[in-house]
This record gives sequence, C-alpha cells and structure tokens, in this order.
Amino acid sequence: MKNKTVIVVGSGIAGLNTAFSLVEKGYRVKVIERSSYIGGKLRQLDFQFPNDACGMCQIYPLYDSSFLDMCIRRGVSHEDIEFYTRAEVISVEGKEGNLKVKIRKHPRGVNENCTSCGKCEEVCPENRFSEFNYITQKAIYRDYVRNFPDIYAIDFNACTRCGKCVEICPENAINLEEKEKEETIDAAYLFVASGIKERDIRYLKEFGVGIYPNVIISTHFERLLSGNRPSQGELKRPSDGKMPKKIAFIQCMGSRDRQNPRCSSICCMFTLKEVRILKEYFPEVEPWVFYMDMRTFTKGGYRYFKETDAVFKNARPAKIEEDEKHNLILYFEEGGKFRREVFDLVVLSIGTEVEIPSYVNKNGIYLLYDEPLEIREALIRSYEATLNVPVLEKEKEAFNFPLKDEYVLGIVDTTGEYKKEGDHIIRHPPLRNKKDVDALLEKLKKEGIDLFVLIARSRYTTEGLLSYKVSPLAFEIVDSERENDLDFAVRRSILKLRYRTPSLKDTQKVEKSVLVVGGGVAGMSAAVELAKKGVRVHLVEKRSELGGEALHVKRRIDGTHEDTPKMLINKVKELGIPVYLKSEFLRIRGIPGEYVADIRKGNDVVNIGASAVVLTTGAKAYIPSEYNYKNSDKIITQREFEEKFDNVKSLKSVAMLQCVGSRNADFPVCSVVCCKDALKNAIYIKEKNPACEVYVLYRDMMAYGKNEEYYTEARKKGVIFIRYTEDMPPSLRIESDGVILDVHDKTFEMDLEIKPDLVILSTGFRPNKENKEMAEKLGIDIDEDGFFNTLNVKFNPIQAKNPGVFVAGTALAPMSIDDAVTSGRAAASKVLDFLNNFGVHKRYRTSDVKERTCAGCGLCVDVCPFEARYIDEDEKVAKVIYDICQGCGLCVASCPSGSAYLVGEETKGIINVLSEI
Amino acid sequence: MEEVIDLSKLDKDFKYQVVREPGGEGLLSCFACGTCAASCPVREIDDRFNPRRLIRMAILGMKDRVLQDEFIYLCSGCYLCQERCPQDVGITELMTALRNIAVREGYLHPSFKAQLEFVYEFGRLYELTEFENKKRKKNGLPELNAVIDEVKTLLKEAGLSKFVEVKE
Repeated sequence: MKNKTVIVVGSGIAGLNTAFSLVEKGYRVKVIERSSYIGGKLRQLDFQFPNDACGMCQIYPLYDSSFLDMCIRRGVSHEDIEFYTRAEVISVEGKEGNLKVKIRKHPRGVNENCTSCGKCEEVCPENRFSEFNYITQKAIYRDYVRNFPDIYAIDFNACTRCGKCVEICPENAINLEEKEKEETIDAAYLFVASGIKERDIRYLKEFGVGIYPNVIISTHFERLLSGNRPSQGELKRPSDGKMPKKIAFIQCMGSRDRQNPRCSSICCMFTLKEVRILKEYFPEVEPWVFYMDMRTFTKGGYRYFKETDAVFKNARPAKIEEDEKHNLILYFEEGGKFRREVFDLVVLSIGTEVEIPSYVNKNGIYLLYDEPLEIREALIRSYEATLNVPVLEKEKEAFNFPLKDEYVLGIVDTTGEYKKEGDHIIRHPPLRNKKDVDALLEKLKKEGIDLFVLIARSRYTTEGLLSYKVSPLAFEIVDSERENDLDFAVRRSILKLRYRTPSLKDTQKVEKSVLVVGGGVAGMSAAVELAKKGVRVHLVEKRSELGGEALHVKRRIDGTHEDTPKMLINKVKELGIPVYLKSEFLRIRGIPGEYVADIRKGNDVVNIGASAVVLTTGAKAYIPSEYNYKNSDKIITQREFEEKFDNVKSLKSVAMLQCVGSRNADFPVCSVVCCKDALKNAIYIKEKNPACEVYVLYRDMMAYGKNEEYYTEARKKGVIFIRYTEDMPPSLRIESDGVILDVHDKTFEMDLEIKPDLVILSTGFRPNKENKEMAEKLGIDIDEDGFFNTLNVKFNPIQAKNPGVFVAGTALAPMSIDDAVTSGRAAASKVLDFLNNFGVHKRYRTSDVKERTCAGCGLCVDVCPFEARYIDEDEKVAKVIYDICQGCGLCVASCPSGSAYLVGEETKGIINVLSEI
Repeated sequence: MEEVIDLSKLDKDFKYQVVREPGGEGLLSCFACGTCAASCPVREIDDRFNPRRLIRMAILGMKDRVLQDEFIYLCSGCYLCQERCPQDVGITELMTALRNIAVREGYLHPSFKAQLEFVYEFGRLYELTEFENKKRKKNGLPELNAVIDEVKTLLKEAGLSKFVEVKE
C-alpha cells in the first residue's frame, strides 16, 4: 500500500497551510515543530495587514468540515494531522515516496495530563528569559494563556530539578527525568517550512543593540502591543515602565547592508502595521519612521502606506545615544541639515532570514521558499509546493448522527463542578486524548445515551477531540470557565438538544473539469498543472494568441532570455488542452461543482461544463497620458524599449522615469514590476554601452528581496539614481534640440537638468475595465483599485468569494511573470483540493430548508453571502449546497415562513432557551 | 542650492576615474542613505562639510567642485562613516583617493600649496633667518643653511615642483 504519511517541518502559518493542503489532497500529515507550541512567528504577532486584525483562521479550507473552524492560535484538531512539539528532524534517508525521517524529541517535562492550572508556575523558584515575550518568567512556563498544545513546558536550561512542581501538580503531569527520544518515521514526502528568524544584529553597536534598554527590535514591540500582552494592555518601555510618548522606528536594521546585502521584503509593511496599531490604541503617541525606500509592493500595500499616520523621514540615522534618563538621541541628516531628535523608545525594524536545513537537497523534499516572504506569498508558495505530490482520492466520511424517533439525553461532567445528581449524569475525567474519548463513548453506550451535554474547562480542545468520533450535532459543550451559572448553562444546552432535528442529505458529486478564463502565463500555468494531474481543462482567451502581456517581455532581470510564455504555450499544446482563442467568457450558470459556462466564439455561443473556474484575466499595460508620450519618438515606455529599441550603442544618455501612472491619487497602487524593469534595462544598457549615462528618477526603489542585488549591481555599473517626491514630480519639455527633464533631487535638495537622448517611462499596470462586470457575473468581489479580491487578501489569497472560483496572476494585483506563474500553479493546487473534497465531507453546522413550508420566494438566495442557496425550478423550493454553506444564519433571519433553519441551532430550542431567561 | 545643475555639462567619466583610484573603489555602491553625513564630526560643526553630498557630486560628475572642495582636506580621518556605512563605500579612503586625484590634476588646496612652497624654497616648513642662526651660535650650535637644495631636488624628482610658484 502506498505510504500516505507526509512530514511538514515547521508549524508556522506556511507549515500549517501546507499541512491543510496535503490533508485536502488525501494525505496524513505529521508536523514537526522545534518550539514548545505550534503557530510559529505569527503567534507572537497579533495583528496583521490589511485590516489590522488577526485572520489566521481564514486559512482553513472552505469545504472540509472536518477542520473545526476555530482559532488556530488555540488549537488545530484534525484527525489526519499530528503535531510533534520540541522536535526536530535530524536526518533523512531513502528517496521520494519512501523516506526514512529521523526525529529527535526533546524532553518537555510535562505530559498531556496537564490541565494548565498554573500551580507549578506559582511554586517554581527558577527564572528564565522568554524569547517569546521578552520578559523573565518561571522555568516552567507557557507563552500565553491558551497555547496549543494547551500544556506547560519546562526550560531545562533554567530548571534545577528541585521537584516543587512535581509535588504540587494535581494531575501527575510532570516528569523531570524525561529523556530525549528518537523516532524514525516512514514518510512519502517532506515539506520544509522552517520559517524566518530574526538576524543577529549585535554588530549594529552604534544603535545600542543590547546596550540601551529602550532600543528594542520589532518583534519585542509587537509583544508590547499584543492583545494578550505581557504588560496587560499598557504600553511600557523596558527601562522604567513609563509610557513612551515619542517612538522612532528605524528600517533596514540587519538588511541592505554589508553583512546582509538583501532586502528582507516584509519589514516595511510590519512597521506600518505597528504604527497603525499604536495610533489606534494610543493616539497620543508620536511615531516617527526612518526609512530608505518604503517597499510597500504587496496587494493594497501602497494605499495602506498612504493611510498610515506617522512622521516619515527618508533617512538612515547614524547613531543613537542615551541620556541619563534612558531617553534616546537619534542623529540623522535631512535635506542637507544635520539633526538630532530625542525619543522615549526606539524600535529597530529587524531583518529576517530563512533557515534552510542541511537535508533539503534530496528527492522528495520540498523547500517552500528561501527568502522571507509576506504571509500572502508564503501561503501561495505552500499551495504551489503541494502540487509536487499526487492527489489521493478521499473516502467519504462515515460517522452519522443517529436517526431515531426519540433520543436519550445525558449530562457528562469532566470538571467536578456540576453538583446535581440524577439519571444519565456521568462523571468523567477531563478529555485529553483519543483514549479518554473512547472510554467516554463506552460509558455513554452502556447508559444508552444518544445526545449529551459536556461540561468541560476548555471548549476548544474538547470539541476538537470529540469530533473525531462523534457527530458535532450529538453534543453541546458547556465551558465551565466561561459560565457564571453552570446549572442554567446545562439547562440551556439540554433544551437545544431536545429540539435537534437531523436532516442531512447526500452531498453532490462533481465532474472533474475546470474552466480557465485568460490565457496569460498565470492561466496557462494553472491549466498545465491541472492537465498534468488528469483534470479536464478548457482554456479561454480573448485575444488571438496565448501568452498575454508577458509576450512583450524579452529579457529577465538576470540578463537571460524570457521564454516562460513560449514554454507554457508549448506545454499547453503538448498536453492537448482545448484552447478557445478569440473567445469571450459570457457567464456561468449553475452551482459550484456543476457550472455551465457560456463562451462566445465568433458568432456562436459554446457551453462548457465545469466544476470550477480559474480566473486569470490579467491586467493591462498602462498607456501614459503624462510626459508628452506620443508627441516625441524620444519618449517611450519600458516595454517599447525592450521590444523595439535596438540602437543602444548610439545612445549617450537615457533617463528612466518611475511611477508613471502608478502610486498617485488616481491610482494608489504600486505596479511592482516597473522598478525591476528599470533595473533590468539600465543594466542592459550599461552592459551594451558603458559610456551611455543612465539616470533613474525614482520615488522608492522596489528592489525587494533578491532584487536588491540588481539595484546594487546597477549602481556599481554607474547608473545614477535620483529620488524625487510625489509633490515635486519631474517636468519634461521638448525643445528644438531635444528633450529636457527638470527634476528636484529630494535627498540633496538639488535642482538637476537632464538632456537625455531617450526618456523611458516606467508605466506599470492598470486593472481591466471589465473586471467589475466580470466580478458581478461570477459572484466575487473587486477591491478599491479595480483588481479582483479573494476571500482574504492575506490569509486566503487565491480562493474567491464564490466557492468554485479561484483567481490568480495580475488579475489580483500587479506582479512579475515569475509570481504570476507561481500564483497560477497555486490556483491549480487549490482547484485540486476543491475537486478532491467536494461532496466528501458531511457538513453539520449548515442551514437547511423545511421544504413543506417553503414557498420558494428566493429571499434566502438573495441574502446568502456564499451563494450556497438556489431555487429548485422543478420543486419550487429553496435548496442548500451543503458543501458551501458556512452556517451564518442570514437565510434564517430573512425567511418569511420560518422554513430556513440552522441545523444545531433550531428555532424551537433557541426560543425555549430564551424563555428560560 | 538655488542653481540648476545641467548634468550634460558634467564630467561623466569622473566617477569611473575615482573608482579606478586606489581607495575610491566603493564610490558607486553609495545609495545615499545619509549615515556618513550624520556620523561626521566635522559635519557636526559646520553644515557645509557633508560627505554624502560630496559623494553625490562625485557620482554626478561635478569634478571641479569636488576636487576644489575643502572637505576632502578637512576630513579628519576618524573612520566613523567608514565603519558605519552599510554599503562599504569606504568613505575615509575615498577622501584620500579624491585628494590624490586633486593633487595630480593640479587642484591643490591653497593652504597645502603655501606649505609646499615653503618646503620647496627653504627645505623647511619655515624660513630660516639670521635671527635663528644668531641664537644657535649663542647656544653653541652650528649654523644652518638658509636653503636646502636637496629638498628642492627631491620635490622636483617627485613631480611636486609643478605646484610651486617660486621665483628661482
């Protein structure tokens, strides 16, 4: 039998997402985590761009109800995912499909009997420094109130094995003699999502790193701001616990320097976020941000930057000094003036890097990424990575809600707090593992109980555990820690159970075929990957050839030829994917899993059946109205230069103008690719004709990540970069002897005049005008800028609101060819997950229809935000697509006849509960 | 600065000349972050002395201005900027390179020129007069020659005499 086990190293957001995607593809996953709790870096950070809230749970797959939709920070329960904490991979032998992975499990000292009562922490006499919270805590510790696993851990570097914790522990959960263990796991594949770590920046002595108490790094600051913050809601600086009034954020600490030449890509965005959270909670604080280039290139990033309220200084401070009160004096230069400014707290925006384990160079081992990526990009990479494994068909879920005329109700108390006596009241130890659940089920069976109320201390873990074996409709949980009146809570739950009406129908079958709209690189990548996995694909393209905008790109930034579109076109041919050229996508009908798409080809309308739609309609190149473009053949765009200009040798000087038609009031979006294009073409010119002067007039050089190296290369080749600001853009005149550009160099406050032979405008992208109409046709959203939106910009970057629609490529936001290919492949992976799970899971918490009373008015169909309802034309009643319904309850609220109801939250039960109050 | 600088009139080869000069190799790595300018102790006293600005002028090709700039001589060689520079421009050594170019191209600062003229003319940093020799004699020391011709020969050989405007 084929080995279905896959190992994922790292339980951060990318690791978890990889695990989810693998489960969707039919695998069992073991997640290896080095630290004591799962969640990775994101556990330290509470709020994220774009809405400055947490959205981790948004990464849950939409169709698989076996994922309990709950807080990932507090726990992930899925029967196919197993977590190893304090464990690491030490060696990998064998080859793809048959890897022998040796795991070392470091002692934790606390087993899963622990109920997190905290008595051990009270008696522990030893201290440790918490690198998680940046505070001193006890040697037996947890990071915050609800971790996963929700048990304590011992830091054996700090523990003296005095034994006080062992004595006081009421659950016998502590073993100070626990030994290191090794285990070999047979796995088919291994995915490495080892994540990022902060760089060691102690070499930055002039900034007082590790010397001045009030100079902290950004992760530390996130902890100070955090919702479950160690300082309990107040903002206190480390030296004296006073509230800082003026805070400096310094960018590029440990990035873009001699020691670490690359840009860390993510720090600009996280500083902006920190500033915004700071301003939201403490509006009186004055934040200053010192930056060199504000690299807000992610989807929606530029808008976010413009809406951030802080003092922005385009300067890298030279040093920090401390006064006797531990205030910090920053020295910097601004507009030719030397300045010093006093701050209460300085936050260094620390650079990060990816740790790459030594065992990655092996067949069957997949490294997700090798440079720091924003969450959105990391998730896209994890979808993409799981394409490397074949999809295994899933079996339909087996367990059922018991169908009976009358149910026996019981009460199970696992806390010892419920004092009532009576029939069908069971006392049981807390549920900690699957064994405990089995024991409980045995008891229930003996007593003949069908449905039960469970009194427990932790709702999350208990619910997760029970759901392995029991239908979620068969029990109600009372969280004793949250209830003031336990008796009432139990009565309330009993009432709800009494009116429970199971009415589950068979889920739909899907035909595995997919429609890809848009034949650019993203669309072709998606189509090719799907076809490779044996899925029938139809590729529709409006133009007369495949390739899209990428066809105009001739060179890559590393100087090699760009042949991605050509390669993909050949692959599409090779795989025999049906391509509809000069064809227009008109609309879809039907429901996810069973769409029929209308395609206009010439005068005919073709119907194509598809289970899902991948939308890759791209974006279009911006045609500038600025800078006398069209009035002079000496003014061209980057694209025209690349495609047509072959007279580089004759040039004496060239000026490139960045952000033409991007990042302005009309279009507050960074087009991302234009800075890279400018670097690419500037280097190209310098290589072909070193004597030619190249001026790049820029605002912020978007040379993020590895691209920083090309920025450096361009400078070293003699390209001159001149920074202007949005309020003082360069002006262009055409005179008899040529073009004259006047520009105010903001950094040096110099007025410069350039007389180039050629002006190259870096023009970027604009969204397609048809996007709005298209979004309406498909039941999905567009963003403020006119690009398509997905369920969540950051945490669910491919799945659109309509569950059968997936978006990739520049239809989402401006991106490079490589990123478009990656996102197309990620979309293919998401579609495979969709096809593999649709109709497999029994969903319990969905809405349903009492067809006897339904008049088929269609109100519920209109209000459903998930398009999970439709009117059956034959029966004239509303129907629910159970795989899509998320159980929000809007239909119940809107139904005039009371026919719509939420399974598990039946109206009668709720009314009875209310009458009790 | 109020003036408009016409880039087409500048010496676009100057930046490469500096890069070829020992010490000037790092010039083009500069991304104008301003660390050097805010580090410089000379700068702290007078805003006119600004290493970042000087580097920028060199990159743009403002050769005359750079080579005549007092700052290349006022740089105290403290190495603070060089140590802190994130791009390894090697600013202190760059100043040496600029001085060397300046001297070679005939842009010697007047104060150095005056010193050189003294050394050339008298073989010393000051002029030896009858007064000094009288004192020496009083104290039992031998008289010195007012002019040392060997130094003159040495300076001629070293090619430094071309900066000297002395009547022979």
